[in-house]
Amino acid sequence: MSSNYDNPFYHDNVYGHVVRLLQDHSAGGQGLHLDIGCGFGRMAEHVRDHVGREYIGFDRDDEALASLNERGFVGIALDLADPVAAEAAITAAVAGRKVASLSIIDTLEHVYNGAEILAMLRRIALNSAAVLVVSVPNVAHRDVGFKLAFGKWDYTDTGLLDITHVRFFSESLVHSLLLSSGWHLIGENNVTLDKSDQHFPALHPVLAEGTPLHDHLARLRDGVDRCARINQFVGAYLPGPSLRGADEVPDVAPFLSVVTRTQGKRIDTLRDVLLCLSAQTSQDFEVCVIGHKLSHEAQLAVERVIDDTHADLRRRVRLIRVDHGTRTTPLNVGFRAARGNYVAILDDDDIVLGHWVEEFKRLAAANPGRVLRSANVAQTWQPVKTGVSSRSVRSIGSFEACYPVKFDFFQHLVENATPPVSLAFPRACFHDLKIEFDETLTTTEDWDFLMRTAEICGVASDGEITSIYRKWDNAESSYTAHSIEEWQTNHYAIWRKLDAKPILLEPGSATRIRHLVHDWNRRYLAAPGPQPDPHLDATQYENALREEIHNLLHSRTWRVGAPMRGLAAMAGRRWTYPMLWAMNGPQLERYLSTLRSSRSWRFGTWVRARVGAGNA
Amino acid sequence: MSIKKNRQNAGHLRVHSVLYGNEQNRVEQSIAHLNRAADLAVAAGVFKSVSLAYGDSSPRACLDDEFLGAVRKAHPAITRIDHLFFDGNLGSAKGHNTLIVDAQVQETEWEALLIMNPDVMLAPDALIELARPLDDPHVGMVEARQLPIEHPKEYHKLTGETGWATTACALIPMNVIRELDGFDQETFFLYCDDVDFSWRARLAGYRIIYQPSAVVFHDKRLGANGQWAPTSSEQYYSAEAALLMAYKFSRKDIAERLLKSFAASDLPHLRKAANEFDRRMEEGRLPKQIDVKGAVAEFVGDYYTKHRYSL
Repeated sequence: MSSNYDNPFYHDNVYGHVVRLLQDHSAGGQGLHLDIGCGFGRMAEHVRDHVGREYIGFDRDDEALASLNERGFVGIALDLADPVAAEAAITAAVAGRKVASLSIIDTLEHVYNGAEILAMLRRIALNSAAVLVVSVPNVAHRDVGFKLAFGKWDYTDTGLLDITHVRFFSESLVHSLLLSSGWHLIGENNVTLDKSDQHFPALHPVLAEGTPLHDHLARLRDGVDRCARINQFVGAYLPGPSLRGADEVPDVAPFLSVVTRTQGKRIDTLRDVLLCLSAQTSQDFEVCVIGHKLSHEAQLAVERVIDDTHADLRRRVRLIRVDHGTRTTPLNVGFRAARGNYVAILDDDDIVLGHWVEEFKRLAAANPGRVLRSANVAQTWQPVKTGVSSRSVRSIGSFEACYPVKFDFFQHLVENATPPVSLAFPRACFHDLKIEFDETLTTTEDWDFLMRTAEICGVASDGEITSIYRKWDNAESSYTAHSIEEWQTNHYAIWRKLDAKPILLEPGSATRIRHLVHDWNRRYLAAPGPQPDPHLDATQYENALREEIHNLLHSRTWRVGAPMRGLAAMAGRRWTYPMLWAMNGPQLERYLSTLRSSRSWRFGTWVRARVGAGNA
Repeated sequence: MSIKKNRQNAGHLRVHSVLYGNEQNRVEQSIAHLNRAADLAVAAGVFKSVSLAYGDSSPRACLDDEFLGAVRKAHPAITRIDHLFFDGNLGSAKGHNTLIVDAQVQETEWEALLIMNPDVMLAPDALIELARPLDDPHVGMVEARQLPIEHPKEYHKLTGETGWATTACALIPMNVIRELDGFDQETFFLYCDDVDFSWRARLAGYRIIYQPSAVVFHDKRLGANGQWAPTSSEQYYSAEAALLMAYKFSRKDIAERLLKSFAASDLPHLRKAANEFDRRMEEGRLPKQIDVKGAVAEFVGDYYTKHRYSL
């Protein structure tokens, strides 16, 4: 220990935050406060004066302990490397008195045996149910993470990346360590710093606040959790049972989680959906049926339909009830419950073909991490009930290819062109990046979610039709349940959301935007724009060549050259109008070159030069 | 969904399926669905028991003893699962007739026959829903609604009555099978044996019912733009059957028009169908003509009844 760690007490630094927590959780009353790894114990006076407890500091640094003693506090030598000896030393110092509280501030990151130490402190605290305040630095502060993303990891003498740290903590790691050691969080007072001691070099594009790079990363990071700006986690814990492995995720996750929203109003089509699933060629999925605002009767009916399915499917179906929120809320609940690597929405009136899951799986193997999109057709259906049937449905129209086969981000900036049943989203988008459905949207929530995930993950499209989107005739659907004004309001809201942040675009987008700008300029500013590039704009380039050849063949110069073509025809070389539409770029280039060097064209040019022609 | 329990004189249901090169795992999946449907149907008193028989037209048997032992053990709601290897491709009509004859040897009492394709998966309540119209003794066949692609033929929205039923999945009372002497195996190989059976049943005074609430999954796929694209082999058997249907049901005009069109076609499978028809005619193997007054036969374009839309 050196004077590097002799930090003064401030109300807004870690000492101030620890004392505040002790004050907030002072139900233990008077007694001892044990400060483990206390250093110079700069909060000792505040614990004594403002919390009303007798302070005892423990550390292995003689200089720090001498400072404590000089200020009238008990300071005891303690080596945490040996928890058995440490426990004996602490017990001796306590000498049967009541322990009201403990603290271990910025110490656990310096030791290898944090779990043992916390278990030992729990034994000391358990008799009097003493509160423990823990502080550790946050290695997931955005300054550290952003720099590391670009290859920078800067150790310093103190601070977030203190050269002597042997362990690093994020929020989940510190809570997991404490829970597994039998400590339960009861309060927090974290130290937040927008710019930590790692905020250097300040003008690095990833740190400088004025850059789009920083803005984009900061938005994504802030969406994940509340820890981006936390410098030190400061939490108060009470001793209790050890919950070892409580947050462990099962090892074997299915490929796909299917989220099916139902209000229990369409039991017959829900049965269709479950049959489509149980008949899939790939059964590597689970089903989360989200019952939204189900009446008691509807709940029983939904449970009946699920219970009717055969055993292999039934064990993979969970019914989760949601009694609040809009039609968007069940999606968040379903995605949160999902355990699969990908999550797909299959509403209770959709139909999927037998290879719906299999195709998603194939696409995922070829495009890991991307949003998956298969092709889809729509079909109109209506309710039916014959004299001898139960309530059912029937198709009344041919399949309609309403939606483009390939995903086009730019088209989707205008409106949605992808029914949710044709999509599967990486679970990590929702669970790790916390991209969730916007519950303020009462319609088109899937479009908003698609745009926010597509931008980050990209979309892998496939032309194989694997689903049928049912359009309803003479039956309730989202189109009849919401007014046109409501649809429009949500549409505009999504446009505003898209405008409010930077957008990542796939390679090739610049050419696409250039075409859009050229078209705009041509239409509204009458500006022709530059010639297309034969590699970037193959189609545009070929069309430009076709237009040029067409113009030449309809020019006066060409008409003037007609006698030369007549002579050639008499010699057996009859000229016919070329099949421009069937020619590719190199063929068009050759034709144009041949045309310009032809006797007919040269003759026409020669004549026009002598009679003083205007436009060719 | 309402479950009608304890049908009067509920009897044994036998299920027939003809295999041709099917994958065992899909067959097993189909059996698992049937097992659950049988379990619920028997519990509801709709059938007394359910058994299953496969006829195997494959060059080599699709199912082996180990597989059969495992599925019999895993699916106890099906009282027996039989596998009859035909040692030859009998097609659809002869395959089912052979299974019917075998059933009469194996099992004495059975009330109804469910014919289904081996890749069909039944909804849990499919048997219950299929059996509902059987209370009417005038019902000769009940067809299930297929997912994901519903058959587009029209049916009466109040009575469920339709022109014919496809045996992709259809329930037939045993007395109707006996009365009609099974399927016309001399005329039809792969297609239209079910249309022929339906029309003969109607000629005998029975009604054909489409039951939209009896749902089964029949694994069909769609081509680009949502078009259903049959293979050339399917087109051949379909064309051959079309000629024979028109001839058998006394629509010589249609048969001649089709024959002329097929014979002049650029498509080899259509010319082959025309040649086969000519050969049958020369050999005197054409079926006896029936329904001369056109009481039941309905030829609507390429279809055998009116369709709501085209696929």
